Amino acid sequence: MMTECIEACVSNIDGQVRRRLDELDTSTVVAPCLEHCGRCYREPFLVVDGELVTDESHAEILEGCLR
Amino acid sequence: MSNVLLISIDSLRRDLLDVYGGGFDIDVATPNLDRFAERAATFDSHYAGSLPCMPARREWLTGTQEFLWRPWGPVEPFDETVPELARQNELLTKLITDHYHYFQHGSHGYYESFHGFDLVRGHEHDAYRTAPKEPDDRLIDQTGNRATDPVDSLQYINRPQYARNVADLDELDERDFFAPRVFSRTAEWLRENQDWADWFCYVDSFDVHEPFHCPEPYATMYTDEDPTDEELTNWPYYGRVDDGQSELSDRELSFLRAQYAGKITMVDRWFGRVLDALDRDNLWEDTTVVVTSDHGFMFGDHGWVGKNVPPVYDTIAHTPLFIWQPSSPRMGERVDALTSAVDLYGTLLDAAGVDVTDTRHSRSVQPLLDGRSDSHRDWALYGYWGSALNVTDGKYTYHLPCDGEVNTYCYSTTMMNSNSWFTPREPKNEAESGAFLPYTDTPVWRFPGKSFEQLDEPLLFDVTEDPTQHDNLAPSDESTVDQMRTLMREALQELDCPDEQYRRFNIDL
Repeated sequence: MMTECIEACVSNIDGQVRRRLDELDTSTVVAPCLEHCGRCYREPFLVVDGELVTDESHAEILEGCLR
Repeated sequence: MSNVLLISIDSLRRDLLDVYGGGFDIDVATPNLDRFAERAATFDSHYAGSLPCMPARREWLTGTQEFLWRPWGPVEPFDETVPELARQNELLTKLITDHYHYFQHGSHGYYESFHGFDLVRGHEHDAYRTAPKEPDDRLIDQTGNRATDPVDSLQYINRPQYARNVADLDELDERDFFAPRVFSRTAEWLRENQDWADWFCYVDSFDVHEPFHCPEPYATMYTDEDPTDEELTNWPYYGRVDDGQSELSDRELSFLRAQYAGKITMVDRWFGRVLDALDRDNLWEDTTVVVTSDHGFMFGDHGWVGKNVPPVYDTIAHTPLFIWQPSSPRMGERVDALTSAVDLYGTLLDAAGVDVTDTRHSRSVQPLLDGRSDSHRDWALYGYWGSALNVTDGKYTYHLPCDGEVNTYCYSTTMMNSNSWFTPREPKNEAESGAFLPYTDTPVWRFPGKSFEQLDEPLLFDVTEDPTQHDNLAPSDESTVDQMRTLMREALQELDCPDEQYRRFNIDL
């Protein structure tokens, strides 16, 4: 199924991920907080179509959801 | 005698109050706010400053337009707070609140200087109850998303906390709920403390903030839905209503608006108890009463739900303000002069009889209340730290995105978390120190924080002609854009804001 929306928390991403999100064809949102503060501290995460997805890096999350 | 009563009702949209002409799609009953407005001066062009909750409170209590320097954080050692100055002036000071943010990481300094404070526990994420581990299923379903916010979550912000906090509340007895307890405590306090000569009492109601969890009869007052239907959330995530974790169906959105409306009618009923106490004990002739809110809340307006993420439309920033002052010739009148949240600081001090020479960024509205002036300020600047910049002259609002690639800087005596407000401290090893602030010689830390654009392109609205801000004039009205950019620059210069703000907004120094 095609990914429709990817959300990121500004605290959890760096400039490189932000630029990568900007380049995607899918709808992306960078928010000041997505209310996942514990996880946000610990590990990379994105909210993909409303579901919270974590992995070793944002690149791997994106690779998984855009495959 | 000079008593001062400041009442904040969190997240209260002005457009649902009859006195402001309505506009909200539900006719919400607020007879007590209406009766107070009838007695007081109603401010028609009052704007928020630093957003959201705690930054607004630092504006009110310290006179600091902080969002150009730092985000949500504590009272600084160089701030002179209203309760500190009031007690120096021999006033008794009291805080009554359920606003738990005062007691979280990085928010110290707000309650400590009051002679007394009451905290009603348990609202929203308040770290209060830890049992039952598995709270009521229906409330869990209505207040969050089990997949992203699991019931056994131990992370800093977790929504099941609320279901635990309210596990013992009786949804058929509104007296258990938050606003009823805050306002009835206030009415009690007014009665118990009549032997004191002068006082400053600050009542900070977290309601009508979400979760929009209402007891009866309010839960069914504005909807035919079953308010216990687990498919209907009463606590939306912030963001777009048509996308992502904040997505809402029309039915869900309609239910949320009804629960918000119900909660406001509940707040109004118990706010009325405070008015009754002022009547009963004949306190009006000795008391200045200020009623306001920190910001609004979006329910599908411009496609958004919540706040913080969307551009700062008037739904968020154009806030209600009513002031009763017995000696003022303006009572019962409208005040159309542009005023800003930060102006409450000087106003409260004037009302308390505190003589201070420096009110930092605040301009008391006392000359308006005295009828000595009809105008007050040329601009009101508002926004979130590290995000877009917004300005109004009362006719136009202009909204300018920042460059997301350019860091902003946080200035504080604490190493506060710049983007993740109420989570534990973390050392800022890149910080430098110095006397960087224009309004104090006290050295502070300076460290970078990430920017958040908040909007894609500049927006310009004529809010006198287009109060719901649907007609963006920025692409077509170059002359007004220039005029508002000039106003923005003048405001930044007057505040002596840091140089990097000009770079972030591409405004000439």
